[in-house]
Amino acid sequence: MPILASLSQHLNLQRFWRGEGPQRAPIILQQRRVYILPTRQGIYFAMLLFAMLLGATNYSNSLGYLLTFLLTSLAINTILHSYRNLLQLRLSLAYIKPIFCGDDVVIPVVLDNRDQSSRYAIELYFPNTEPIVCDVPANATYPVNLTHNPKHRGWQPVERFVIASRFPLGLFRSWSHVQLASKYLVYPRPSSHCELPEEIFYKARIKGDQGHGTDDFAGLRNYRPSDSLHHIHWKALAREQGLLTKQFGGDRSEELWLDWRNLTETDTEQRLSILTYWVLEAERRGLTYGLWLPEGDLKPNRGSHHQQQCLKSLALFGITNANTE
Amino acid sequence: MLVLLVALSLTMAPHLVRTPLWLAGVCVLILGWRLLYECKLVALPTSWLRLLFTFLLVFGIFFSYHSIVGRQAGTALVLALLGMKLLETQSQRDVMVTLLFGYFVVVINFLFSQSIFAGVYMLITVLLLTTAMIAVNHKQGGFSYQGMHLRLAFKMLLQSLPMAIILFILFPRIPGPLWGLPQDAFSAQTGLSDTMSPGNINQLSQSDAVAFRVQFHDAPPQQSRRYWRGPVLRWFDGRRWSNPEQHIPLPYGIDNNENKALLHYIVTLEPQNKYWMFVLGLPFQYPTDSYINQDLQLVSKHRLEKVYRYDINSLIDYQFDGIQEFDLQPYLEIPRGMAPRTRTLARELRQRAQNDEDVVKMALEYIANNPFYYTRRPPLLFDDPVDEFLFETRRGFCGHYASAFTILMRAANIPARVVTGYQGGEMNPLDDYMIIRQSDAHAWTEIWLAKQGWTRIDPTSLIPADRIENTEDLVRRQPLIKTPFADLDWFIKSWRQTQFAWDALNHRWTQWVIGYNDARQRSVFSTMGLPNITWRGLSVLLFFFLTVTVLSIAFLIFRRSMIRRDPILKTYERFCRKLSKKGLSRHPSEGPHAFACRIIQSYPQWTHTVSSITQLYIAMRYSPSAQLFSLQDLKTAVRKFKPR
Repeated sequence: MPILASLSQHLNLQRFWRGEGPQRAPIILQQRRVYILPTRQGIYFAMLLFAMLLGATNYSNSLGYLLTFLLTSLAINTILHSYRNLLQLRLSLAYIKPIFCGDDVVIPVVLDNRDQSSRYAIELYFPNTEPIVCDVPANATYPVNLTHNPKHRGWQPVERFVIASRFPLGLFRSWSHVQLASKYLVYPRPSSHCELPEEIFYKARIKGDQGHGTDDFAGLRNYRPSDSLHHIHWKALAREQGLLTKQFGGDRSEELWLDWRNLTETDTEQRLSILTYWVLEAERRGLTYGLWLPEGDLKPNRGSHHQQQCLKSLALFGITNANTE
Repeated sequence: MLVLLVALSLTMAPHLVRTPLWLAGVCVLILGWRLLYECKLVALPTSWLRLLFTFLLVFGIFFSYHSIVGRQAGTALVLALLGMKLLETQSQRDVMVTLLFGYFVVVINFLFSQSIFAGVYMLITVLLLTTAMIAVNHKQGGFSYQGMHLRLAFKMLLQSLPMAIILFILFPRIPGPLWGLPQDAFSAQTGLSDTMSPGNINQLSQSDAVAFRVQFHDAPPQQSRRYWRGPVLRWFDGRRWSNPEQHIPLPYGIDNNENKALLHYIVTLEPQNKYWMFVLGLPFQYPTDSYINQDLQLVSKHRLEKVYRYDINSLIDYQFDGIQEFDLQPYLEIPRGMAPRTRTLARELRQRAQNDEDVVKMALEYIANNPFYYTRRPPLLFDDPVDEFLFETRRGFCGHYASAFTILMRAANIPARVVTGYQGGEMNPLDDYMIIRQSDAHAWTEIWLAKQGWTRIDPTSLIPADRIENTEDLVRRQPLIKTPFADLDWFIKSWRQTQFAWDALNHRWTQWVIGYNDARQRSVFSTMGLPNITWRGLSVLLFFFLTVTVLSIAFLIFRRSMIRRDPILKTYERFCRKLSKKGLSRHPSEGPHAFACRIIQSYPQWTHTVSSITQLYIAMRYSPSAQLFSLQDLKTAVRKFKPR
């Protein structure tokens, strides 16, 4: 029965220290997950109220009593308001762009407020970092970019972060821990000082290089969006003839093999770093490149999709239990 | 943080009118400095400078007040600390602490005044302080959100009011100081003093402040009988009347053997920092924490520093039978060598009269027939005040008359004493109670007549109307001559109406808010039907009411957050849950029709029910004529569907 199921969920104490565990988006901040406790200023406020109460009793001062009681009920009212500020807020993630190891990953959290009233001063932060504070208007969504610095390459899960609020009076703080079952890809860090291998395999092909090579100039054609910027005929653009790409003819296609076996470094990570740099450089120069890794190889190709494939296999090299979700 | 500055200025303002000028100036300077800092024109002082300022301020306060504890000095100290804190405040935490200080300053104001104005002002300052607190917790909002902050603060305070009022009514009042009060806990209020010299009653005649208010059980007595007895004075030193034995209680009780009519009334006395309770006539039934002294004056056992409400049954007409232990000698004493002419006059009156009553009558005629004037600005009396007044100046007010007449009586061997108190009182037509003001303060004489005992004689009542200089005194002294209310012009009449209305409001406020002490609370409980409520009962009641209030406010706040799930969807989901127990879970991407087909494939025996439920659901959710179908049908169908 659903009642018993949710009751057992409620009474499960493990959620207090182990947390809820990763959940799929969207996460709705229900009552079970939102906690509230007084802040330090709240404790000071309580001390102030106690002092006022003592004073009012000592002097038998009626208006003193009244003010004390008014402030007490204001504090209790604040509990309700602070709690409500987080309750029923929905969180989900937008697409997390892959990054290189060592950089900061931008995790775009989307806050969805379906209430008729706005939520103010919502703080989001990873533990031990500076919080990002924002307002979420009524019936609206609001994106927040959290940054995090992953240490390793491969598929990294989104760490648990905290969403909290002290609004309106700062006497109580309501918070919740959010762990979204999502992950992002971290490529190996490209090493900064190495050159592309000199050997460029030239392979004769029937089709030739289809105008992609670097041989004789074969003509102009209209610009297609994936064309390398190096091949654009800039002078034509300056003459206001539009974007035109230079085509080169030839009977050879230049293929570059970025080969694991050619590297002399012994450390796996270093090799991966160098290969990563090579992939990036090759794509920048508009070359056709293939990647050979002990786990498998990628046939020579070019374009951003091929680059991503290469980087992905480099990132996931050696990580056996990576699920490709 | 402009809101913070505005809030703090308003908080400090009522105190600054009471502090010495230099402190008020310093506080204004501090506020100005902070304002300039907010406008990015100056920097805040360094910590060394602040320490120096604090030291100087504390020193200055000590210098002005000669202490740093007590109500006045303590308040000045808190103000100084608040100012210094304001010059230090930078971060959110600092602002919060400053605001807490601000709330404390608000509550300190009530040690000085608990009037309606103070209450309303408190609400305004609390509203502003709360707005500032909201603003500091919403820093990224910026200026355009100030309106929102104010509205939210207002809404929150409004939501807090019911609980505050419940707490105010039900929270147990523990009487008395818990640890004692400083010397100046209650400032000297205006009122009758323990002694009378002709000058000090005149001061009171300037003041329109309310001395006390009386609610009569039956009809109030006539103007001529409204003599409210206060301090009775027997000792004259030539200039001043006093009574060194005011606190000795009467050794015997008072009985009403002849069952004379009692007058029942309730007096609400404004704080006066003395022990005197004012009554009409002789108090017969009076509160247990008061007693009758030897001069038949009602005296309280405790100093009356707060509003005091007492219930009296008194005898208006009374006589003493038998002198017994009464020592009349003190009431015949005149200072040696004083008032020779008065003594001569007294002897003359004695010779012509047959008995004491005649002496009194002739003495009063002496006043009526000679040019005695009632004035508020009499000439000063130097060597022998009584003689000079009776024979030379013949101009004075109640104090002079009472004093001189008493001495005259004593010189004629009639025991006499001066009684101070109030005479008169005005009914408030709006709320049926009587207002007695400080300006009604009066002094008269009581003489001892053998058969009657102490009898009141008011020499000023004999003065003819044309010799009373002030019209208000005229109204009081000569009650038969009344300026009819209806004849006053419209402006004065409506002004007086407003005054009465305001006083009625003040009366209620005094009774129910300021005067809400443990006695009042107990009476409230007995009217609620719980006469002997114990601590346990009280806390249960309090808990109950508070829970109800908090829950209702919570409901108000959270009602918008409650998801009102679509009942159609809920019913269909119940249907899906039933099927998932059978192993057929609906995939997230599966539409109702596809799901139904899948079910029918596996379990053809349910074809009819499943398809009818699914069709009904689809029609209710997606069909343009959805309102033709009833939710009840769907609910019933789903309920009846029992997959086995």
